[in-house]
Amino acid sequence: MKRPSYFSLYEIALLSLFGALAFVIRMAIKIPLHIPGNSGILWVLPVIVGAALVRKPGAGTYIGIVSGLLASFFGLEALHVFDIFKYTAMGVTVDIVSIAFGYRLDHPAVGFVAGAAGNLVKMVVNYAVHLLLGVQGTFILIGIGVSSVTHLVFGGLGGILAALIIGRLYRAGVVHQGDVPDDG
Amino acid sequence: MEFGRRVVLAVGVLVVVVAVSFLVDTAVRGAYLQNNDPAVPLLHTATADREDFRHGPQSWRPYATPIAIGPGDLPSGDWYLAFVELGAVPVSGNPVLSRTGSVRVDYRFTDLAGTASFSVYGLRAGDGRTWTNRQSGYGTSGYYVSGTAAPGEPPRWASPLPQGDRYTVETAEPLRSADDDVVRDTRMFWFDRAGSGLDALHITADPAARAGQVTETAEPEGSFYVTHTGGNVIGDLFLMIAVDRPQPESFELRLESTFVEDRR
Repeated sequence: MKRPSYFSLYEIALLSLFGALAFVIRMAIKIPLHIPGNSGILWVLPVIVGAALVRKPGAGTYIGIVSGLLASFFGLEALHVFDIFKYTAMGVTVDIVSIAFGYRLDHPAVGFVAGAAGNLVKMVVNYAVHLLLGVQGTFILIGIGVSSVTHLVFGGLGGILAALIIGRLYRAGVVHQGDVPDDG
Repeated sequence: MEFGRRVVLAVGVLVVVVAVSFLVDTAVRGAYLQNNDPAVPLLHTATADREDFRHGPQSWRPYATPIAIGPGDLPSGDWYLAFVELGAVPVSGNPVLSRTGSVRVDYRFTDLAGTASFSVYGLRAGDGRTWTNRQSGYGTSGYYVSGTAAPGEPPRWASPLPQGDRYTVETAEPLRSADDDVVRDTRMFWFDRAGSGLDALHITADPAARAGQVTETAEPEGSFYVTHTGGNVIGDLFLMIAVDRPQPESFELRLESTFVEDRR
């Protein structure tokens, strides 16, 4: 007898699309603020919204892996090959926050925590990759304090936006909490 | 645990992460300031790696009209360009009225593939009008170093500069942000007209020969001087490093620049 897969076909398609969206947002939209972590306001959106719609542990991680693979293959920056670690870490973090709060990602406070934590973890992994590759610590670590604040703020704002979007989707009846079709 | 408490706990964890970041920041900043000897205030150091080659491949370097990078008059080859601020400027003029002198640049390459070409760009204090060393004809100066390392992968992050008489160049930074959201510093070079701005700055191996000369060497370590014979005040001085091959990951260029006062 065929064992049912953890994610249904519908969920896999949905999560893959959100993963691709995270990558496209990251590549296509550049906010000229020159502030570390400012892109977090946008690219936490697909990860949190995707995790909220599917409501299964691993949904955020799946989105992170898909967007990370795309970024690793098609990124432009010098260390883009290692982007998969950043994106995956962010997805795992969103999963952990989602489970901890019982998938109440439509609540702005939970959205803030998920977005801020995801963006902060992305920052930490980014620094870790640079340090493991032998970049001298003083070159990059000066300013990490301010950088952590901006990552927290922008990620948190993105998380609040995601929570508002999820709330509107629930209220509009486009999707229902715990009612995503899984007839893959 | 009730919902509100969980939120407070999560925010507390985030605040702790930020606090730890500030502690790391303070510790590293302290170590950095300790290692930079304040007893030698005129010494400026910089490091460039393969990621600092932000422009190219292209056969020319910025001027009012494209000029060659390699030895010779005509632009040729595929070069990748990096720009490093030297942190010191040469001073010309009446030695009675000002402290005239040149900038000594000590360089050390690690794993250089192909040829590296040094050129200088000086920005006039105030308006940023730019001068560079002459590339062809009487008064040509330049400095070329050849290396034997195996080339690396072409840098995907580099793109050719658009041609014109104004150029926005990305500069190499001593303290680099690890975050992709922070774009590199840029500087604008602009040139008045073709034929002008080529005879004020020179590269020379001997500070006594102020008009400079062309030097070609295979020594990965050495020094040269940037001299100034013009009448204007230079506000910022940039060294352009061009390489004709993609550099390997182990490539590194260390630069030390110092103001050297003229002997009277």
